[in-house]
Amino acid sequence: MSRMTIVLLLLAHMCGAQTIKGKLFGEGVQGKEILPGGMVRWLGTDVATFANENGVFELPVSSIKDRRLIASNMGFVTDTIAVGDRTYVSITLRRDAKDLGTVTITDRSGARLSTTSVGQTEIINQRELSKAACCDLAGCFGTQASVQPQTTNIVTNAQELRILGLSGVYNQVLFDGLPMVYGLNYTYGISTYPGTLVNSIMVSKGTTSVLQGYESISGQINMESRQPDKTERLLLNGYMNSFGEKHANANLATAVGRNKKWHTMLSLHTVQPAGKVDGNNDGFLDLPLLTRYMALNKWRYGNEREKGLSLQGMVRVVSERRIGGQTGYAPAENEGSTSIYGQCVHYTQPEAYVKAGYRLSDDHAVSLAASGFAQQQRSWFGTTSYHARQQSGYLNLQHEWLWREKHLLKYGASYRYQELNEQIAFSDTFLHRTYAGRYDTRLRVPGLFAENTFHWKDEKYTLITGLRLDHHQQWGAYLTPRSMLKYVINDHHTLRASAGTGWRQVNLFAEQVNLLASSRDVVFAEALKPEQAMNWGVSHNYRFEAGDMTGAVTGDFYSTRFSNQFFPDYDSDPTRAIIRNFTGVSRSNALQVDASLTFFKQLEVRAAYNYLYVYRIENGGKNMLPFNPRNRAMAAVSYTTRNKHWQADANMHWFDRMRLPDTRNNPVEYRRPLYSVPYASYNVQLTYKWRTLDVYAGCENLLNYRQPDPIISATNPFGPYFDLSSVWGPTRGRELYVGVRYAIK
Amino acid sequence: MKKTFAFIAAMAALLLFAPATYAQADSVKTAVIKVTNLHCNNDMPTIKKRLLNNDGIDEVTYSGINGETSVFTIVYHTSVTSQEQIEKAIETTPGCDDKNSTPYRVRKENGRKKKAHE
Repeated sequence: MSRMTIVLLLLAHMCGAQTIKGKLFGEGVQGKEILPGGMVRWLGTDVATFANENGVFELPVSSIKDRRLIASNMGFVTDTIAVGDRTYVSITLRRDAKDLGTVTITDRSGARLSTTSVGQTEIINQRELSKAACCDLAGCFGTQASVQPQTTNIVTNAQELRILGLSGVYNQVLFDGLPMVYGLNYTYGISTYPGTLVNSIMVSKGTTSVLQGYESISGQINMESRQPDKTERLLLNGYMNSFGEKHANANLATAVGRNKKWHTMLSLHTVQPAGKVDGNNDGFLDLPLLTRYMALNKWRYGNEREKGLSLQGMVRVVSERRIGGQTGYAPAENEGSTSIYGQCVHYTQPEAYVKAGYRLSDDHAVSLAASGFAQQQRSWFGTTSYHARQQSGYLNLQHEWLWREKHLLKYGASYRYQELNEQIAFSDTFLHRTYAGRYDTRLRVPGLFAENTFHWKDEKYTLITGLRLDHHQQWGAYLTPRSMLKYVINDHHTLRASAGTGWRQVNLFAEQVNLLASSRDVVFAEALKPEQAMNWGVSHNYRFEAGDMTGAVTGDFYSTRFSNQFFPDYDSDPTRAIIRNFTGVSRSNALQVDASLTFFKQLEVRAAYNYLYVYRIENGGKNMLPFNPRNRAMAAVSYTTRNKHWQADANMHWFDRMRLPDTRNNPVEYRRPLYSVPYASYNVQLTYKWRTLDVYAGCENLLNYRQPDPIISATNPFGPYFDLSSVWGPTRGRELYVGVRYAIK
Repeated sequence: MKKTFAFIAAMAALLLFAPATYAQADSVKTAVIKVTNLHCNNDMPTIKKRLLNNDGIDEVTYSGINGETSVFTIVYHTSVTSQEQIEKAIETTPGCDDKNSTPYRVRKENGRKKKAHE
């Protein structure tokens, strides 16, 4: 307490005068929190005091004519409060604009929509991740409906994450806010992040910020890894499923240095292959033999929201081998064999990033981010050999400036670098394929960007407007405007709208691995231009509370229109895949309704419905995009006992019939129906928690549903009709698993 | 020296005039509440923090843990909150190790003892 205050207090007491007492709060992430040290002053006077360690303040009332208080605290918006004749006053200050938009994730509640972010952002946190085994990133979306994991290659079990019914290449996958999963890393990258490394996943649909680049079209998936200063000191995890696949994870975190200002985390992960399983007796393994090793070391110094320097860095190495195909395939002897079919992918990838920030004042901060990865891959897809190498880099320098209290401007420059070399050769001569050779895909893209966030009418409205200008080394300048608006109608209702464009360069074989596995010849009709699209969307979020029940209902609609798109044209010629730009009509319209209810913090129920209408107009006819069910539904139930020792989870995904690739040109025995049959898959899990030990067991695909004959011409894998691209449902049958997690906090 | 004097004077004034200051419609009461089902040393600070984030609570102190129980002494304003509300706040405090649980319970003593503290 300052001397002035003491004297004033003393005077007040001497005169036997009245005082006003009260409490000062600040708006926190989980409700209001006291603000010790905050200042409270009578308007137009020097009569002031500071809130004590309990947030309590007391001021004399005598000789005060204008009974209005001014309350202030760093990081919060100063407020004036009319007191009237109250003797006790509670003051809650709003957080300053520059702290908005950064969402602090807690593990208290489950998946939810962020209320603070301007774009529609769904947060999947650790509580939500604990509801399923979540071995890798692709397995983390079992209890939500926005992201749909889709198997792209049944033999190597490569998966992509679809948003709005569009291929995974159209959404941007970020690791700690930096682009890491693209190019050669696209096909297998998402599987290399174990669930134990993930702190939270933020899913944004539709238009997103321009700060992370020009690429996202259908949305963004940002995976935040665990923070060395906040995570458990030790975390051990083991998992095994009924096919015999084993996973082991260990995280170790500690503070280092004399002042314990540095924090570091070491994360180790391995997968050891399953036994050879062929449940449907088609001669092919149901799941590949997967061997993976990953080591990650992350460092952190300081806090970017405090003045001064903050640093964060990460180094990671992944080495992976996938072997799939006919059960007798052994890569050492059968690579490129024309008698026994198999696919073998083997790669090593080191990667790193550094983020440095310097906060000059409350209003100014500068940051520099650099990231990159290199991958060396040696693969065989039947008789096709694929050797590829990629070096990628990303550099971003940014200045952040809070101006006129209501605006936050972020602007800067970025550079994207990529050098992708792909070497293709064939070990057979009977398939008459002509595209052997070397392919180089480069990216040299300098760019400038600016984004302004404007809060007005007491945060009722927030508007983000962003623009970036990038220069592609071959195709020239690209302008990317994007905008997002949030309107908080009241405590219960929030409206959002967004619109913007995005573009991306195609990395042909790295992203279309099925081309290599196909018996078709690949014909290049013209040079591929970058794909470009415009997206707009609206969403409405309603949240309510009634007694011990809380709930939320969200409805959203997004529409994407491509102005240039690429997809291999399989229809013009049954023996060829033609590579050309598609500038005709290609659209995606996606509607989602999502409702969740929580009773007594024990029972959570969630249900969602998706309507997808994704089509292209080709040769005058409307063609629905394969593998997108028009209707899709999801339901999830989670129950925790009152003593929190037991947790039971169940979820169901139902898929309407999907359009499948056209096989009508094949001989009768190699034809498939034009549509799949509707099906549902059920998953359950039971978790027992005892202090920091969790034991979980579950079952995926409970009803043992399988797509019949997923591989076309499985008995003749070297024939011209061998086709892996007709997979629409589960192929591996029921899967049981057990796992254990142990943590030391 | 001057500072010390001012401080002593302020303290003396506070002691002398405190009762007069509080003699308004609002009164300040002290509640003594026994909280059970505590398992670690972090439970008490968790509860204290939760209580201080409520309006009308000026001060929270607690005794050391004794057989899963600690005695909390809470100074509060009757015009803003009540003992019932405080007890409810304690019982709905998320556990310090498991944020999804609300393990803490108020031990109801027989009326006589409770009254003696009020």
